[in-house]
Formats: sequence, structure tokens, C-alpha cells
Amino acid sequence: MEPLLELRNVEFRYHSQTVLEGINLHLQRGQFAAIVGPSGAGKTSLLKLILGALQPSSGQMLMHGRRYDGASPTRVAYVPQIETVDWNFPVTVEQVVFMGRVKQSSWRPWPTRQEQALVRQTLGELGIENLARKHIRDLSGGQQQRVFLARALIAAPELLVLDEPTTGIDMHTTEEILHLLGELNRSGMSILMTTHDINAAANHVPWIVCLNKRLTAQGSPETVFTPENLEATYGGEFMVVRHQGVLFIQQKPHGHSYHDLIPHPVPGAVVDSATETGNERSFGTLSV
Amino acid sequence: MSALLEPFQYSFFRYGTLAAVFAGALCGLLGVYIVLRGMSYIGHGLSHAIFGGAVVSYVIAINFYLGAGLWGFMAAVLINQTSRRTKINTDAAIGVITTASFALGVALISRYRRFTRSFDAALFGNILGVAWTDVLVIIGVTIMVALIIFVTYKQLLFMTFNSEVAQVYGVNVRWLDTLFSLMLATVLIATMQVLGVTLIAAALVIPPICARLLTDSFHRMLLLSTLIGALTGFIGMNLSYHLDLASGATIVLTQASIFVLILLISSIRKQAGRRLMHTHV
Repeated sequence: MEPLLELRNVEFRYHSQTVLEGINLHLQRGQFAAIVGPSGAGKTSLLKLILGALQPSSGQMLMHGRRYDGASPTRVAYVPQIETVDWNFPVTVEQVVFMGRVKQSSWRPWPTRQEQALVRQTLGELGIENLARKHIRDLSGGQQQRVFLARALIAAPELLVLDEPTTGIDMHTTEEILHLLGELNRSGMSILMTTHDINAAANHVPWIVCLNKRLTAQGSPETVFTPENLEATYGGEFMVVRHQGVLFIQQKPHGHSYHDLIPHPVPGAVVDSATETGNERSFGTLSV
Repeated sequence: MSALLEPFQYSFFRYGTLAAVFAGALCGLLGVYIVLRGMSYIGHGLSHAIFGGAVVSYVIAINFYLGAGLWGFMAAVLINQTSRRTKINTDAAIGVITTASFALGVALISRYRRFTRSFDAALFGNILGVAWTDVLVIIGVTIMVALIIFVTYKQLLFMTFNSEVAQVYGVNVRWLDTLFSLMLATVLIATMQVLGVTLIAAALVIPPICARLLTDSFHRMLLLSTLIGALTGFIGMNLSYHLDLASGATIVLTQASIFVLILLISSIRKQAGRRLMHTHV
């Protein structure tokens, strides 16, 4: 099947400095993928290349098998990092969401009744209909993320691209946002996101792409999150623990042995069996 | 009452007031986008660049509006391209390009001392020398800018909010940026004679920040800023007549006074709100 998005040997240099090199990436229709990597790995640059906001220095980018350079030939919606938003800008939630229809709506400055209804419906689907008339400054981190997700969804995109959607929000909200993205993906939407939160990505995103200027690994979380791949991506030593289908990834702090790092996810829990292969530990059952 | 109406019997004052009202409204309207895009310094810089263009157009004997307009537009595009394609920030690009252009104007004036035209008017404004055709130009530019903003409202709003994201959603940011530069250059030329190169920047910035203090809504900010610009143009002109002060400076001082007043009122309201919250807690 022809991939929705394909990058062939893409390289990107900025002022003679190589930011990305040898990027070969496929994203199938209906796939949900997360790009992980350390700060400065080129995650945001890669997203901007895909979005057409940056031009590759060499290599090819294809959408539905068609080469593109600049604006994407398919409907792509983008949720930027919330840190990049000017929260003092004088706009309400519904005005921000309506921006997502900028290409489809009429030339009139104000939304039509149908467009107003669509804005309300999209906000309703994300459970934030009551915030429609609020100024964007007056929202919590999770609400802010949902507003920008609503703006993306109202554009009816074929590909949803999110830059660090879990940055600056608490664990509970991270869980909610990733659950929401999972639901959208199950309804058929292709999603590509970047994240620093490898534990959340490991347990919510079915396809992981490890990046540090070049792709170091890609595949399912189980195959990608190995101490070797993590070391190749982030540097340093990592411990990966699997317990009842849940992956826990922990970087080894300086001066600690792996034996000090056995996680106890439930207070008072005792691990009754464990196997160790290299730096990877697998646990059997927990008794509390 | 008759003393207040007295200046309106003079045609120069009527033309001047009309020009000041429309120039104030025009600067207030476009200024909203300038302030929200964090480009407040561009009005100041471009007006200086246009001064250079005005002198050059006089030296090579072409129409002032055409010569200075093209010059200002080119300067705006050059600023955009320099900051977009190099490591130089927008404020630094404005500083280099517009100051060099202004210096060229000053150099040409010192070289061609045979000038009969006074460039004091361009520098400090000469509203009393406004002719009916100048008023028509300002009204025409106001209508044109208002129409463009009406038609491109959604795209301009998105670009002002976040130009990089707007591009992903299909807004032609490059084209819109160029159109905006063209509008800005046209506004500066149309209002130069009213306010002068040195005072235009204030008229572009003060009404929008006054409006911003009064509302959290973008379209209300556009309306309020336009209204404040027009109103201060009218009040400033009348004050300048009765107090015998320079008109451009009086208009800007009126705007600054209104800004201080709004700032005071909003601080008092904020403090009262905090006190009320403490009482309820």
C-alpha cells in the first residue's frame, strides 16, 4: 500500500550546520506514530519539513506518492507547542477554533451559522463547549491543548501533526490527551507527534521513531525501546522494565547499579520473579 | 460655544480636521496588526525610510506619492526578506535599512541645496497646508485599507496570531506579508503630511495599546483603536488651534494623555477587583 507520507534520504542543514541527515521515514494511512529523541535532536525541524514550513537541503518528500516541496498537497492540521502561543493575544476559544476553517470558509470575516454550529460541535466532542467564549489566557494547560486540538480537527485533516502535546501539562492530563489521540486514531485519523515523554509514548503510541539527527530506530514500542536503542538515541545507560504489558523506562542515574532501580509501581508491592537480559529486566507478577 | 466652532469657518481648518480624523482612524486600524505582531518599531523606521524616498523622488523629478510609496514598500519588503533569510532580527534589519534610507535623504538635501520644497513638513507634519486633494487621498486610502482588511480579515488574524501555523493551514503568508507591507507604506505616505515622519509611529502604536487595555476581543480592539485614532485626531486638531500648538504634536500628546488615563483607570479597576476577591475569600 502506498504510504501517506514518505521521506527519502532527507537532509536538512541550517547555516552550514547539519540538523537532520539520512532520514528515511514511512507513515501509513491510519498510523499513529511518535518521534522521540533528546533536546536538539531535530524533532521540531523534522515536523516543520513535513509541514512544508522548512525546505529540505536534499532528499525527497512524498505525500500519497507525490513529491512536494513547500505546502503539503494533502490536508494537514498542526498543533504547535503551547509554549509558542501568545496567550495575551485578544482572542476567545471559539475564534481560535474558527481559524482552523480559514481555507474552507467564505470571504466574510464572521462565521456563518453552520460554521458556528461546527465550532460548537467540535468543542463539544472534546468536552470544552462551555469554554467557547473564554479568553485563551483563562484556560488550564489541558484545556489549552484541547482548544488547539479542536482547531486542528475542525480542518478535517487527513494527517494530524502535534509538536510536544504533553509538554507543560500534568500526568493526568497527559493521559487524557494521549487517550483522546488514541480514540481519534482508532476512528481512522493518521497522527504524527513529537514528545519528550518516552514512558507515555511507550504505553500509548503504537509506532515509535527514535531520532537524534538521524533515525536510530523505528517500530513498535516493544521492539524500539531497548537499552541499546535508547543509548544510541539519548546517550547514557537505560533500564527498560516490562510489567503486565506496561513499559517503564528509566535512565540510570550516575553512581547507581541496576539492582537499585527496580521500580515498585504499587506502594508496598513485592516483585516475586524477575529475569534479566543485559540491561533489560522483565518482571513476573506483583503481590501486594 | 461659538469660540469652539470658530476655527471651522476656515477651510484650512476644516480640511485639516478631516485629514486628522481619517489619518488617526487609518493609523489606529492598521496599528492593531502592527502592535499585535510585535512590530511597533516598523512604523517609526519605515516613516524615516519614506523620507529618503520622498527626497529621491524630488531629485529625479517623479511624483511624490509614487516615488516615496515605492521606496517605502521596497524598504518593508527588504526588512522582511532580511530578517527571514538571514540571522539578523527584524528590529536590527529595521534599524539598518530605514536609517540608511533616512541618511540618504539628509545627504541628498545637503547636496542639492537648490531645493525649493520644504522638507520640514515631511518631518514634522504641516496639517494646515493640507489641500482638498490631500484629504481625498487620505479618505481613499482609508476606504481601500478598510476593504482589504475586511476581505482578508480571517487570514490576517491567523497570520498575526501565529504566522508559521497559519501557513500550514493554507494561509499564503508570504503574499499577505507583502500586501501588508504595501498597505503600511501607503498609509505612511498618506498620513505623512498630517503627522510628519517623526510622529507617525506614535499614531500607529498608541490607539491600539489603548484599545488593548480596554478589551480582550480582537474585532472590538480593531473598532476601538480606529475610534480612538479618529477621536484624538479631532480633539488634537481643536486643541492645537486653541492652544496655538503644532498640530501633529498635539494629536500625539492627546493620544498619550488618553493612554495614561486608560492605564490609570484599568489599574484602579484591577486593584478594586483584587480587593473584592480578597473580601469574598
